[in-house]
Amino acid sequence: MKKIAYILGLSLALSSCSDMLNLQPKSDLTQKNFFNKPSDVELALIGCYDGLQTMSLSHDYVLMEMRSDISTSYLAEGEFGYIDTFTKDIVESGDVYNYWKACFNALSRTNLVMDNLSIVTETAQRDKIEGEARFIRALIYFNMVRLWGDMPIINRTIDANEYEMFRRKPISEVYSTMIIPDLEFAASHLANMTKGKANAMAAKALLGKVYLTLGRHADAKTLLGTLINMTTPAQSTVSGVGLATDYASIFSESTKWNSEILFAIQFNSNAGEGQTFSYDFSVFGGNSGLNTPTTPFAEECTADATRTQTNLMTEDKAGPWIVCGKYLKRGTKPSQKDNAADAPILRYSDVLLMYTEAVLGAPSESYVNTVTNDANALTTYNAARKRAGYAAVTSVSRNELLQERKFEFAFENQRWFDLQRIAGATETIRIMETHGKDSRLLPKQRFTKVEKFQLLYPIPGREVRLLGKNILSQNEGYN
Amino acid sequence: MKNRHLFTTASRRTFLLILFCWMQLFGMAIFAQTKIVTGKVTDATSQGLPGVNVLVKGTTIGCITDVDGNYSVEVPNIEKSILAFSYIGFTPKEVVCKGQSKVNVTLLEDQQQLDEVVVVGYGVQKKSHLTGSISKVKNENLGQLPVSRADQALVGKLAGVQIQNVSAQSGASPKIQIRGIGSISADTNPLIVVDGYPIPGDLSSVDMNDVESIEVLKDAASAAIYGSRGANGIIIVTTRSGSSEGSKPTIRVNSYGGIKERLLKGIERTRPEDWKIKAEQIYTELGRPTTGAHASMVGDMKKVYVASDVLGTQTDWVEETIKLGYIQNHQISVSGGSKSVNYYASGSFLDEKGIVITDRYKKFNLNAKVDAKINDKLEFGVNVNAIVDSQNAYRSGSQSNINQVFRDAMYIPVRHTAQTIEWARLSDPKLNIGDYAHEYHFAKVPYNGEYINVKNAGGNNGISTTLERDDQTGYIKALGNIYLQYQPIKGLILKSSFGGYASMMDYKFYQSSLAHNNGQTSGQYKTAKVIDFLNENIVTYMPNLGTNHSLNVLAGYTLQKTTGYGSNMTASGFPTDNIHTLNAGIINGGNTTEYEELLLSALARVTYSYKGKYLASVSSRWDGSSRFGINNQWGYFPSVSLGWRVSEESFFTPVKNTIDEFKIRASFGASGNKNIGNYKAFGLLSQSNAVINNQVTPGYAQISSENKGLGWERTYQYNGGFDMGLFNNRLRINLDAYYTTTDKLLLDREISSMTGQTNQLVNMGKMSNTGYEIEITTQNIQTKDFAWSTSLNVAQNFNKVLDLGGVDRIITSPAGEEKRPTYFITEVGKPLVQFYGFVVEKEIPNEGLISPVWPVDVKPELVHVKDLDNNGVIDDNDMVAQGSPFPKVTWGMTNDLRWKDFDMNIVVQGSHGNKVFNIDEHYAQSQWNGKLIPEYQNSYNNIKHKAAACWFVEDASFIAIRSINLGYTLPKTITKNCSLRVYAAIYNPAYFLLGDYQGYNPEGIKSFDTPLIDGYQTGAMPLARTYTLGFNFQF
Repeated sequence: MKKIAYILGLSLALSSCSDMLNLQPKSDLTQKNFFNKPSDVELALIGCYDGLQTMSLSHDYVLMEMRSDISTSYLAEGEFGYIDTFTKDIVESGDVYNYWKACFNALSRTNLVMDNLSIVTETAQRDKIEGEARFIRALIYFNMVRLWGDMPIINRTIDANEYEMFRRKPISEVYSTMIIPDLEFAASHLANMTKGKANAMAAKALLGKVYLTLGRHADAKTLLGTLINMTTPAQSTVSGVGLATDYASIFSESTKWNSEILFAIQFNSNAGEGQTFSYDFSVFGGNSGLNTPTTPFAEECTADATRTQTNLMTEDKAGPWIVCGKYLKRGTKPSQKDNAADAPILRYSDVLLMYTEAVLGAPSESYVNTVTNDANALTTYNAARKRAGYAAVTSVSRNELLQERKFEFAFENQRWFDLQRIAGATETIRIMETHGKDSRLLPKQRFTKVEKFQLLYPIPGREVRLLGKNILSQNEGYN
Repeated sequence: MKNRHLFTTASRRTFLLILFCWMQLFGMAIFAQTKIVTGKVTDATSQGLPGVNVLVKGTTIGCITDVDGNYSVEVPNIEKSILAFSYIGFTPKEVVCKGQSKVNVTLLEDQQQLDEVVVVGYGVQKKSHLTGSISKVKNENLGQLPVSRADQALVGKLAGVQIQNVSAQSGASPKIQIRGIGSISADTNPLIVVDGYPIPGDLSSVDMNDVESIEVLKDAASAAIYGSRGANGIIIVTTRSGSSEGSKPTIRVNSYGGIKERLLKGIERTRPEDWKIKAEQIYTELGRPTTGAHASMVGDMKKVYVASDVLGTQTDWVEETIKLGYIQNHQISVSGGSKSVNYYASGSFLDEKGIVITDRYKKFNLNAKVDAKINDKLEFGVNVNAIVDSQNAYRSGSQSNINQVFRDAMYIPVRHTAQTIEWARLSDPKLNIGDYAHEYHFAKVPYNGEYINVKNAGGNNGISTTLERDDQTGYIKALGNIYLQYQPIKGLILKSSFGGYASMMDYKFYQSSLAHNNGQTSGQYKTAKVIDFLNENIVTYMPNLGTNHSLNVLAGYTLQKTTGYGSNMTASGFPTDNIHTLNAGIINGGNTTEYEELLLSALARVTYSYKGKYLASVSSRWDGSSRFGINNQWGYFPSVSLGWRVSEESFFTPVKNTIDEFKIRASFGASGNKNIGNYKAFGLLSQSNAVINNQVTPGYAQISSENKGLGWERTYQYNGGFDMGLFNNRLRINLDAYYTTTDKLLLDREISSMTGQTNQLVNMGKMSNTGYEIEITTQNIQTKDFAWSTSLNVAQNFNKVLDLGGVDRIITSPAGEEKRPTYFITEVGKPLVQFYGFVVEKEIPNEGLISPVWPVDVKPELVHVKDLDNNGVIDDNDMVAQGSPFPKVTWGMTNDLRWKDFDMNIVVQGSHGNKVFNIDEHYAQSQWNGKLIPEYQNSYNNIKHKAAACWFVEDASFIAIRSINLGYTLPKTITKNCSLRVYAAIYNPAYFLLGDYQGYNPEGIKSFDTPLIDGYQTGAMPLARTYTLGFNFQF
């Protein structure tokens, strides 16, 4: 009888079983129980910075630098080689898709913060969170439009079935409705400089670059001019910001976010927060070295003595191999433990050289090597070059500026965009075809021709397949 | 578990019979005029049968035979009394005394096994009364097969149950699929029920030697009693129990040992010396170019000469990797019992060394089971089973596959010799003789006054990356169950059971500084603990309704809770190779996670038969699972099945001489699938830390989107069939045909990554499986000295996608294989998985390659494809499906032969029409090095990767002789009270590849997260042939 009573007891217990079934996750938070207080939104904001890390870890350099004339992958194996050497069929490229995916994942994180801002009632705190999120969002979009052209405008968290949201919008609309307003908001609501975080100085500098990309050189000149102390151009008008005295120290693990850094994607050796690119660029990395200097660039570098000591490194691995040395520790064998260097996004020297660029104006369709002797343009140009051991010059040409930026920002994911922004499409193709992708190991013949459509990347094949070409159109030239 | 019930019934009967015997002996002294009949009961081999029930028909007088089969019984009427002899597993026999005082009887094994009992969910049923589709394997000598897992021993034994050896790694689990694949994104492994306990694990938890029988519930009507877990079929394992038939304990020993060798040859590589001849030929054909696009061939020819003439063949890497292996297995068990208690206990040890270096598996197993009768109404039982195993893998993680050794150039030695060290020191002066040789060390080989670099793939030495990596997975799995059974009145049984299952996994990895040429060390330690608790409360009611009606009502409810704990830690930078635990390195990551799952169920079943002719069974199960969305947690799974034993009808009598048994069955049932993992209905945010100002700062980011309606995937199945026995049941035919549909498929559909996520689990789509299964068993020859029986099973399953939730197709690519773009298509109206790609037009000619002479055996990774629609553009319209990994027909055949004291068992198995994507050739030919001249490449628009053009799709149909087991039982005259059988077995003696497959294992599959990818093979672990010698000993 005792047993029957027991069974009856359990039966009663079963009646409340529906409640028993509602087990909440133990190791993750849920959408519903997460956004309760302002600090939760702050946590989601840190998630945005994490999103930037993932973008950097998704081989961003393959798209933004290794495509250019200054670097290549040593063995050009597999798809690294396809992008590197302008194989036409890269629609299915994992590198293209992975970076695309990382961009949109980070974008959705910024939108999640934006969607939940109302929880933050204190204005100052809300402006700060919103400013940082919008800076990050603008940075993502700026990279995306430069890589893929027209982009869908996604300004809130969306569901997979909201197909209309996935239609591509003209670049100009992306700039005018997303990138520029986001950067203007960040520039006006964030503190001038907050080390480690998005700040007004970085927002303004990035907006300057946006203006230059859009051909709004006058706007760029005005805006960038406000950031530079023209009497002591090595210093910014923003306190604490200025050129670092030693070029190597800018990238060093021990002097992170130094006075020159406006914004960087940050890494750390602890708790799995390290990066992989330092090591990837060494001879031990994938393809026996990714993003390694092409032979012509390595030869040019010998003339740029000071910075070359930092930019390049000769490793003895069955003979001298020249690789990128910017982010590696010196004096020890490259190791996966070399993973703490930050990825610089914006530096003060960039602001100085952008100012010169703003004065030089936009490139013309048929390339002309414009020259300027504008005093301020020379002031900033000379200030930036002084550290590299160059004497002041009295005029600066477009070619010289491009050349200067090539050394100053080597392996900082600038070159592919610099070429197009400063030299224009036709000249970019000419430079690419002239220099080729010669490396120590591979014959010069491996690529000969770049077509204009290849200045943009294809929309990843997976995305077009899922949505159909009617909704998500493919870039011209890619099937 | 229900089997226990059987034995206790048997034991009760035996007890009574013993009692009767006693009474008779006692009575004998008083009534001397009654006659005593004696005799001996033997089996077909003239061996005495102990424990046979002898009963004088129509009385309660009886006894049982002794150890030698002798009996002695007093009969009331020496002329007319009928003696009834019965023994489990034998056809009962009745003999009229006819005045004889000595009656010897030979009992034959019951070939028709009509009254064999089959375990069904939560109960047992007579096989003759089954209305569903259930296959049964009795374990006769499966424990002698030299395989490390119980499921591997079942290959080819069960119709419609496809057991695929997807990895030949020792101890690796095979893929089991019953009646085709029924789900897309949910796991499709069948539910494993061990002695009534549905375990959250696989068949590695039991030792084959402990298995009494295995039943597979195949149709949904049978599986519906397991509701939400029934859709993939149910495998019910019944372990051995003690027997109370003889009070003397029985000790059994099964022991075998043997060696393993490679079975299939795989791809053969070209030796550098042979390549020289080929390369010279190619070079000459191209006009020995020194300039232009082929200019680099000048230098590459020098490399060819260095490889062939200076270095020569140093290493056959395959031979270095695949060596002889061995296996040994020893098991001892003790069983016995008395009238109120019976017990079974066993221990076993298995040690297997795979044929691939570092492949090793060890297993210890302990099992104990006790059933006890407290009084007439109360019984209880307890069983405990524990397994401890450890598996050393061949390589690991990203480099898990054997085709990686193809990357190693044959002109490189495993370790530096006095000859090679000189050249290696030109690159790295610190090297010594005996150090591992990496390709990097061959950048400066002197040749005709210059240094030649013959470094090629840039890979690391395949032997160092294997031997210098320690990759070990260990499990402790324990299952314990206790039940209490109470019978307040006859026919009513209340049973409650409480069980626990625990699985503890730990994974250890260490890479020593010698593994890689860069000297990097790394370590990992990972654990996964699963604790499962089960409570079942079942009422069974079997009222006595007279001879015409038989009713069995079952109802109950169960609660099962699973909790999981995981941890993972990684480290690198170990200063010494002497310590492999992570405390010696620099910890660079770690986390722990937990999950919980709850399943609440209520179940009911009514089984009814009228006159033993008309059979019906109706069942229902309600399951509530925490895994689903708040709006959809409960699911209902009903079933109905009917049977008609036509042969019992009077009109059937005329043909009864030929057809002994004929039964028609039909069933319909619904079952479900909840194998989707936990918390999938939630929109989850996971910790996503970032570095802010050099501080690791905690943050959160969304990792999945919410789906409150996420619910059951439901499978409906119609099953029809018949069971037939002919010619005294010497020919038995079972046929089943089925049609299954699964709707509201749990589909982890791909969504645009622009949402921030790439996948979303939804209930979407519909799929069907149609098929049939035939089982034919024949007693070909049955004489005293020679017997031969054959059992054949054939199955065909046709899988078809009916709906994909709006889209007509899904194209999937394996993640991590972007370098070699490969496509699989899931299309409405077609099987779930098909290989998909462009159609090969022709290979790239040598003229198109920059250097078709280097490295050794190089071939391009690209290929010309066909413009199918002739529109001048190669695009999606030029891609077509090119075969499916699903076999069209599978079959298995078992032959049992016996000649005097010799016995032999042969299992043959076949699979036809299954294709695989086998990328081994890509590595063997260093295809990534077969670079095209850019002008050539850009002047065609029809050049695609070979992987995208299904170049590697091969027909992997095969017929395998799975095992041959030859045994000899020593005559009783020698072994007396014991029995001893010695045997020799060969596992995988022969494999006949019927297609163009050229790898190491036609069933080898690399598994991906999505079932939309199947049949992808990259360096399948090689199959082994195993020779063993062993013995069974019993006393």
